[in-house]
Amino acid sequence: MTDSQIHDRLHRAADPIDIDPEARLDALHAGARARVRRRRAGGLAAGVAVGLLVSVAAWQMRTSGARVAGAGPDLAGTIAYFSFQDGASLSARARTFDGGSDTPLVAESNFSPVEFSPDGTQLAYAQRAGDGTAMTVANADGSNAHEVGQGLGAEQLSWSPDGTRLAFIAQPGGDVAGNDVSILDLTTGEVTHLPGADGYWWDQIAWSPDGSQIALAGKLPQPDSVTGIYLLPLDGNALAPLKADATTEFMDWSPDGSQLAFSVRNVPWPADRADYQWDVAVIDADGSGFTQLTDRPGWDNFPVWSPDGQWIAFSSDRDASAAQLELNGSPDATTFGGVGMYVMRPDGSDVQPVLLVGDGAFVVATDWMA
Amino acid sequence: MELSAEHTPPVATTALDFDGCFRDLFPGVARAAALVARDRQLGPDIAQEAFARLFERRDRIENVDHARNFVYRVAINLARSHVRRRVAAPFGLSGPERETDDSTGSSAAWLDAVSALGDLSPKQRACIVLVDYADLDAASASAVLGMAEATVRVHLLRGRRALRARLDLPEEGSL
Repeated sequence: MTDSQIHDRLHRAADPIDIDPEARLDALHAGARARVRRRRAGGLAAGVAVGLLVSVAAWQMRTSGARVAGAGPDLAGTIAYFSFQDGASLSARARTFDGGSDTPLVAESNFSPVEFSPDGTQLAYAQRAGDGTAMTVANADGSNAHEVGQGLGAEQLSWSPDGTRLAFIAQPGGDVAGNDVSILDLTTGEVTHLPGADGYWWDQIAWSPDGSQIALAGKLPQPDSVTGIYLLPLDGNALAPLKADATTEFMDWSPDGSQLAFSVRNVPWPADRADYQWDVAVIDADGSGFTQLTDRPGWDNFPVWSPDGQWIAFSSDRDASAAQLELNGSPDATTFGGVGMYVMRPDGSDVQPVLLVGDGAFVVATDWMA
Repeated sequence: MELSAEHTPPVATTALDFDGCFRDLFPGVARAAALVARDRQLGPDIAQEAFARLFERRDRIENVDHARNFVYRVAINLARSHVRRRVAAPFGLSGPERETDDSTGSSAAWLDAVSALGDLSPKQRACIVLVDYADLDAASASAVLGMAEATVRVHLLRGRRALRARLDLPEEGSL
């Protein structure tokens, strides 16, 4: 993994830096005592100010941590989501709206977004396996997990509409420009490379509901290239940009295949906090009708369509505490959090919380099945 | 429904040996921060701040790997923040980066390395330092930097290519 020559040059450069850990440790313990005193004094002042500004209801919400929103919309189905805490533990869970259950799906720490099969009986994800990656297919409740496509280097995947194949993005193998997009036939094990997608660095993949094309989010291997959304027809026609004039991220097809929801960076790089500024948008499958659904200086990301096409779930820090919002946008941030799950109508209206979390926590929807 | 787990901070099952952890990790974190900030004097100060933050939340640190990821994450962020402030102060955000301030007494190896690292993007630099200096694997680096592992690999590929060219190293190495 390590480049030995660069490793040697960096060690020759940095290892002579004189460091006295014992003196530093003594100073740290002395400083820690002073920090505690300052924090106690500052916390009291901040508490008075916040108490004047924040309503009792909002205070109760934020201090109660994760909870289901009370008078939420009438939602149905099961949503798969990442649950992330403090940069240390990442798991996938399933929330069923009808019965109100919330169960673990994947407890490992390195895996791709969980995708339900179109018939809702299975789920799939890619995860680390030894030095490489493998795809895992399991029952929809996470049981009976078994690896498929070992050695293919899959990092992101998407089900075919008939549930017989997985399209996947493979991790880069060596010093090559771009990564591969291929299809694994789950019945035969046959792998079909899609050369039409060569030459790009792909980050995400989504097979269209009618099976005719695959949406890919990625960029050209050039320093000034931005991540855009492209469509790869499976009839042999060439890859075509759908939305490549703005930095885009996570995308999801509407159930009828007429639109894609995705996240778009809402301020140009290198503006301050640009890494953090995302909004949710939709675009028609023919490239027209780009509409930004959210517009706020913060993090609205990871849109997922409901199975009936009536809602879009997304993650947002709009209800995070002021302190957490400052952390989220700061390059000094050590804990990105306060990111809850919300739904809105496909025109951006009627935003409602679904799952609220406290500071330091993070929930992100990845798929929603009936 | 066990929603409380969503916001409950992780609780260490065994107490973290903070001092032992400090002694093991501090030199590496300090030097890595120095490389990212391209400032020899600043590296230990950044590392000390990172460990101070670790100390404050040591009861929520689950194990040594968690502690390592945490301090590297804070240190890299602080180093990048320092570079950003240095860039932005005199020239505006898109202006050229100023030279580092510690050429006096530095070795040729240090000057060559930081000059070459200065040609990389901040993310490339962070990935290179974490993997090729601190010996983290791509998965750990992705956890530290909060980016996808595939993205780390991309930054490594590009950063190494640029670094090799600047350091006159022959083409070699792979992921």
